Amino acid sequence: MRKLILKITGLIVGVMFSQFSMAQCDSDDFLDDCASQLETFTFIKAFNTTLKAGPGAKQEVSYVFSKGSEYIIVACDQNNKGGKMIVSLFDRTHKLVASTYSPQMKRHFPSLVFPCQATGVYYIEFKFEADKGGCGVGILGFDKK
Amino acid sequence: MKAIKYISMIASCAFLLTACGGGDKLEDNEAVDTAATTKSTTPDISEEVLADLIQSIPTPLEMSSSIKESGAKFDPKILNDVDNVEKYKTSYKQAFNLGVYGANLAYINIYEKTLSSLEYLNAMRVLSDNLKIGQFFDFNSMKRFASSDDNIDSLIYSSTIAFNNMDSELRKQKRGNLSVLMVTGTWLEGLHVATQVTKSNKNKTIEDKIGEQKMVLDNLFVILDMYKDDPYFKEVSTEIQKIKTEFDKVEIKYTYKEPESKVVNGRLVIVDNSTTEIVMKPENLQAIIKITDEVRNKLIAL
Repeated sequence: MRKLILKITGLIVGVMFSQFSMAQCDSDDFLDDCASQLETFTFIKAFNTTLKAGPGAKQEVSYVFSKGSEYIIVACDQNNKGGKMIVSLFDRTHKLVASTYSPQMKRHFPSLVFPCQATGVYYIEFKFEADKGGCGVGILGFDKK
Repeated sequence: MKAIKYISMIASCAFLLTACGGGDKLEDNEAVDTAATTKSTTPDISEEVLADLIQSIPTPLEMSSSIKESGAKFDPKILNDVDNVEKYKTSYKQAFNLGVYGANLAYINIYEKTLSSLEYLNAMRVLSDNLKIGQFFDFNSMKRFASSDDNIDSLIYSSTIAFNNMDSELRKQKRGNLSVLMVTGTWLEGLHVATQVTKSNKNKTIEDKIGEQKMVLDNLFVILDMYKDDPYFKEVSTEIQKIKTEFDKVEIKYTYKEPESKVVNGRLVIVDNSTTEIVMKPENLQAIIKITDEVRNKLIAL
């Protein structure tokens, strides 16, 4: 019986801990730190991403990008589990435009800059390296050329 | 038996602790009409899809930025008068005009007219308090930012965050209908400012930006249509349809070419080789300017 109590207590504490960990990822400080990487770009939106580990775990949002505007997407994560957050941009037909992870270079980029030449709906996908779970925030900003 | 009591106690404590982290409880408020406290009827699509459609609508900051870039002078006469705030008694009107004032604030901030910012911030505070989402509006900080031209970036940042948070809180509280009205007001006012500016400042970039709104309008109309059984939404939808009828005549030609990427100062920069071309006849633009003005004036007075 004592083992059962310990297991249940552990489970409850675990759930509470994970909730508080997620809350940190949503905190204003975390957002402000990430937003500071926008530099000269103007803040548009923040996309909070919390994903459980698993095959194909991802979050997708859409946004209408406008020709003549330059956009930036900054990727920030807490990197608790060793999996960096990867942000990928897809066009209206879901063709990949670019990703913050380059398999050729085996390199992660902290942001991607997109000087838009074709107005339309674009899809921004957030996932974690090797389908690991985690939490992070993607920040969208814009600048006039 | 003791063990069960012990487990129950831990579970209760855990529930209380985690429950505290949830959203604020919506309290009754006699000053607010039924619609403010009544959760919206569930639309036919999931909350995730609704949220995505809402957040896909571009911020009015982009349009305002293009207007300023075109060399057009700041014109306060085209904005919704802050004194109108007293007229908005129902939650529907408050949400719609919170969006309208939000678009006005974006225009004011881009032009760095900090004195006007304060008036509009105040109007937004009144509406957001009435809608019970005023907790996201840090008026004192914003007032401080508005007191100096040097802090305009901070003002834009904090007001954009506040606006986004208010929008997501409404959806969290299952009041997505108010969120839809807010985003509709924002979009319509952004279009109204652009069309009014283009009347006196002929500029191809702004005209193209107006034409591009056809895509945004298509998304917006999908959202509005979900609540068409509600009389207020039906009226808004009928009015927006008048604008859509004119936008349906606009053609957007798209040419796809494979994008390229390069690394510049450690940043990944995409070279977009695709293009779009806006095909809009002058008489079509004139019709859009006219109908947008009529619809917007009707809806802010509704």
